[in-house]
Amino acid sequence: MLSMLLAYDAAGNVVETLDYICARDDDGKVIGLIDFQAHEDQGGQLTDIWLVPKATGSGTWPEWIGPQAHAFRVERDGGRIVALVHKSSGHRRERTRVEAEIEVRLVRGQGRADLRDLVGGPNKPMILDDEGKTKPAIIHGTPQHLPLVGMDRPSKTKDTGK
Amino acid sequence: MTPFSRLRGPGRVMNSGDVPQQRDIWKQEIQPTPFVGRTRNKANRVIIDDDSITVIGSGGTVVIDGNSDMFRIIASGSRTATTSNGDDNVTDESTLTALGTFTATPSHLSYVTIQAGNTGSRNIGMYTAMATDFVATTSGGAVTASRVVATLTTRAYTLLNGSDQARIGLVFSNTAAGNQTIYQRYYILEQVAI
Repeated sequence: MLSMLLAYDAAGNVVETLDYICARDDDGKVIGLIDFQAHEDQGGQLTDIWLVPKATGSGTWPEWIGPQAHAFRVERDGGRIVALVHKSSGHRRERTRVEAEIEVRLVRGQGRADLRDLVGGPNKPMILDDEGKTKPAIIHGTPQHLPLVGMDRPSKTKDTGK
Repeated sequence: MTPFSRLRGPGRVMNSGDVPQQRDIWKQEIQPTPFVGRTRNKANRVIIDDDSITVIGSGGTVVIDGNSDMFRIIASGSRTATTSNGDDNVTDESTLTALGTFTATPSHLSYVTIQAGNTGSRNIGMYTAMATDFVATTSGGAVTASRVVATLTTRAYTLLNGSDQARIGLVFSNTAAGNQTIYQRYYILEQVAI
């Protein structure tokens, strides 16, 4: 399962994040993505993936929130990060809630689901507000009155996220 | 296999070994190829050949040409470093061991900032905080000249360690900026930095 990595210091403050890292063959060609979650589940050392001298540990997190993670500190259960707690507001992002929602969608979609609105993605983090809560990704496109080259403006369709 | 397998002159087909004549008007002909590389596309509009991709639009024009070089990001993440007055060329690095080894330092694209919010400024690779101070223009002279001085400087870099693994880092100096947190967002590129 794709996830991001968070490195934290002795106080649990997130000091570094890693959205993804590619695996390369002996010719330097990219052959795939490293599965952080699988490596962690198998008891693998995350230092096989990165070395962060100022961190006391690192772990996987199922959402992509990019550098916004630096506003949180981690809570752990054993070696696993189970929650992110916003350092200013105290808002909690719970791992079990995210993973439960992922499972619901996978069951509903018979093993396939679009999770982008739930977890974001590599280099496409979810946008959080000042309290660490997810903000709706509302943007406005190009002004409607501007003509397009060689075509009529496509009609609006509702994005169901599926 | 190349999609441009034949060149056709007016009135005759020429093979690759033929000697072109100056009077010939060459027209390059795109041979519709139902199968190139690993992927088949019914409308012959998508051609994937090894690690390049070409998408041909409805008018026959190439809309995406993956044969040209594109930035390919092999790792992406973010970092923080804390700095305080008196820091002088302090480095803060991490090593991306999972990338294996390199023969040359990889390229990178990095943004650095001291603004933590989502809408703060993003500076490519470097950030400098400045102030205007008064200085003497000669040793022991009167302090009457104003000069812009850097109170905080930071820049991002990549390099290889002794085991040829990729390192991503920040170097910073802080003379009078007080305690600051530096935020870095980086994208390590497949291209090498030479």
